[in-house]
Amino acid sequence: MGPRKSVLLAAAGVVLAVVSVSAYLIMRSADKHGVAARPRTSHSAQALTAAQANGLASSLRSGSASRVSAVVALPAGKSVSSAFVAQLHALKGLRIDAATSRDDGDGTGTAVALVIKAAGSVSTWTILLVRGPTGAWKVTATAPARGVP
Amino acid sequence: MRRRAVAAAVVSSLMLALSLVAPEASTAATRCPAQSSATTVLSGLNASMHPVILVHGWTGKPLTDTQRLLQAKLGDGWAMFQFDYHAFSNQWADVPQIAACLATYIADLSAAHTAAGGDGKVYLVGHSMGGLAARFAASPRWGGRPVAGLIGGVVTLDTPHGGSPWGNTPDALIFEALKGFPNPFAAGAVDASRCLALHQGATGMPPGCDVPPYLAKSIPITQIAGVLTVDRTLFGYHLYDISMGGDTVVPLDSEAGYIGSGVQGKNATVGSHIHFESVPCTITSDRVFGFAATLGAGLFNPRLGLALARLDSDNAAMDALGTGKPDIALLQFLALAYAVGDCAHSNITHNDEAITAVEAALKADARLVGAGCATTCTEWSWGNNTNGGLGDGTTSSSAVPVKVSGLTGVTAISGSYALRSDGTVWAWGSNTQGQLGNGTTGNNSTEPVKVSGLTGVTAIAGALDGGSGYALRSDGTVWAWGPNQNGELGDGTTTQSAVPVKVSGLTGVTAIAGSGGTGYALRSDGTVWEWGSIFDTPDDPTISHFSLVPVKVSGLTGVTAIAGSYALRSDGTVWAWGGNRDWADNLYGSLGDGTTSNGSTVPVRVSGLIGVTAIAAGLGSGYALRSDGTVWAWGPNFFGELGNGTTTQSTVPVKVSGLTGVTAIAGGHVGAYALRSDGTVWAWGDNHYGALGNGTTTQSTVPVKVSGLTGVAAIAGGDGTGYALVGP
Repeated sequence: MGPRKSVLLAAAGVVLAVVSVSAYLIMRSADKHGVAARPRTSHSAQALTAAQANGLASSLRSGSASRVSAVVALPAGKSVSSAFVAQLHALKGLRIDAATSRDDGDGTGTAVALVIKAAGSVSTWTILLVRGPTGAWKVTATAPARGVP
Repeated sequence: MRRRAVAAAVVSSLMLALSLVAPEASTAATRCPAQSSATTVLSGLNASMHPVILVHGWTGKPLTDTQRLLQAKLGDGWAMFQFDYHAFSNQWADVPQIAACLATYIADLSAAHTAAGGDGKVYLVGHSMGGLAARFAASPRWGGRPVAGLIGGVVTLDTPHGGSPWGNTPDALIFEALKGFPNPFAAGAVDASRCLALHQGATGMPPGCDVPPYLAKSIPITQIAGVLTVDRTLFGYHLYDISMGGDTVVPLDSEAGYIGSGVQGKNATVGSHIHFESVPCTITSDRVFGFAATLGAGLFNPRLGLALARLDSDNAAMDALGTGKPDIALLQFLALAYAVGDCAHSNITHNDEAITAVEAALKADARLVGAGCATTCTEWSWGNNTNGGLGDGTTSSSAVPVKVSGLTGVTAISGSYALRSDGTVWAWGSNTQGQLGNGTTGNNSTEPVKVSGLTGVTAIAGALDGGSGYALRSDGTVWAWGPNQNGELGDGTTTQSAVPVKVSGLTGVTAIAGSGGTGYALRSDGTVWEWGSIFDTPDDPTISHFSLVPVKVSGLTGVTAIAGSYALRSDGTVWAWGGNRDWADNLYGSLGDGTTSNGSTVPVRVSGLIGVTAIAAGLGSGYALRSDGTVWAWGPNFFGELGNGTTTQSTVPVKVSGLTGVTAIAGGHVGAYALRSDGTVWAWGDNHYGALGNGTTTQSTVPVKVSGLTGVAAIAGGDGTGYALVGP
């Protein structure tokens, strides 16, 4: 086995080990809750300007299926349902805090959003972002900031 | 956290590399793992308890949560024990410390139960690889002792019968190391993470890994499978569902893949009881990511969201894993779902629905093996009582079940015949031609009478239309009594007999069946023999013929069960041939092969049926129970006997409507019966005398519940009559 191959194998092993360690830690932590969600605290660039954050929130609440679809990452062939669009439209408020947004530099990012539902309840969410083909940010997932709902 | 993870990763990789380069030369322990905890020591048994052994999985520990929850559901009649092989649980389930030691544990527990006055039957519940451990232990080759006869049933929870896409990957190997099993390559060791690779029989199984053996036919197996769906949500609102294709570790095909998971060419011994129950659950992606957030920044990666957004089709997650080139973020997402999903691999052991399914399976198994029937089981009947077929001391037909008089300790039923635990046979009803077998002819009996001269009987069979009775004795011989105008007694004559006579020339018989005018026997070599009216075509008498002694059905091998002129082969297919007297000419599709030909003297395959575990015959209609608990029927359908909501005949199998979780089926005169895992009985077809047992005399083209019966252990059909054996 040549040195180059050994190095490659070792590197592959580390990558796989990271996955396994992650999985293991996840499983060990399965019954531990209570840590508030927050974006990573590393020194990353801000992902969204205030205008971009407002535009993203506005599109999500627009009541338009095409506008919602434009800002939600969807696999080919999937679309947003009218019920989903209507539920977002019915929100009393949705504010995405540009100041908390973070660009991880690999095409993904995060931000914190404040959601006011029709009933008047306010909740804080972390939104996970991905850059679309045009470079605009899309929402891939959300997580309640107070842990498991 | 990140620093620790990276450090652990580096250490793991180094350990992996060292292991690959220089396998440790230590010797494997040869002693069985100590069973010294409160839940593993065999004590506290009494005769009325059913002992259960819980077997944990790969790198696992005793299933204490499962035990607590299951005990609460089952109550005091069940005693729980844990087989703890944690110290060896990174080893493949065939190693002696697992398979042989579990077999010893089974034998010891059985002996303790027997000593306490019980029946010695032990029930096994295995999670994940624990289910495979049960399979290996039950085989003398790996278990080292014959314990199959001691096992009352096996329940597998998320068991990778066909392996896992995580198996034989570096990830699994490293996971083992992190769980405290640093060197899977020690001398004598067989690393389980490698042997858990996806496989179909021997195909795909890594070298050195033994393929899990099938259980003995006598052991019922229930496969309970978690099926996780992720509801992709944003801010709690539903976007769409994504099937994980299994429990995030084991694909559904593998969780329910007992049939086909054994050695190629040796499929599961169908004909026994093989069941499947799914435990579905849904988790929102918001919950998954919310959980991820609690783990801290190092494990809350926005790429996880991207992985989720890319999952664009059902089963994509497990499929991607199966390719061997899954996205790292996808693996992390699966791991999160594994941790949080209520029916995911890690949580199925304390999922209430799963525990309820285990409870139902164990109770069904106990009923199936007749646990307690030796002293307490009773027989009930309903429907036509014109000739005393209900056995309740009257000749009044009943549309609801009534108790057969004076019979206790019944272990098997067939028409108006019952087999008692002392090996004697009892009969009631019509006696026009000596059907009671007690030496008399002419007077019907409304209560059970003992069939003369039969001892050591292990199985019985009666015809649906008041024909001859058959008994299989423990020496493999078959005995018959009653009408004989077609030679159906098989003794070389056409003289009826009011006492049992020996069927000529048959030895090594393992199962018997009877239909009007014909007797059938399955021999241990997998061949089928028939006598009496063996091919009856009223439209063409030139090819009708009879045989006064058994003749071999041509071209049938590997048969595991028979029902009239239907045979179930070990590959789960059903075969049919001419021979049912009334509608045997196949005018209505009795053969189930898509034709309405004039019948067939050689077996033809019933169309489209696979994975069949049991068969039954009505008068012209055929029935098959598949491993997924559904029932299929074909042939004539004048009174709704196909149970599919119509009265239209079908030349190919159609699904009986609305039945799931079925564990046994029985053909009726013009209809059929199904026993569900919850111990209830369902019936469909003609109801002239109340044969459906639902309190009416209205026929039904779909299954209806037989009134008032619970805890049923076995069912049978008769001449417009239904029968049920009710457990303790």
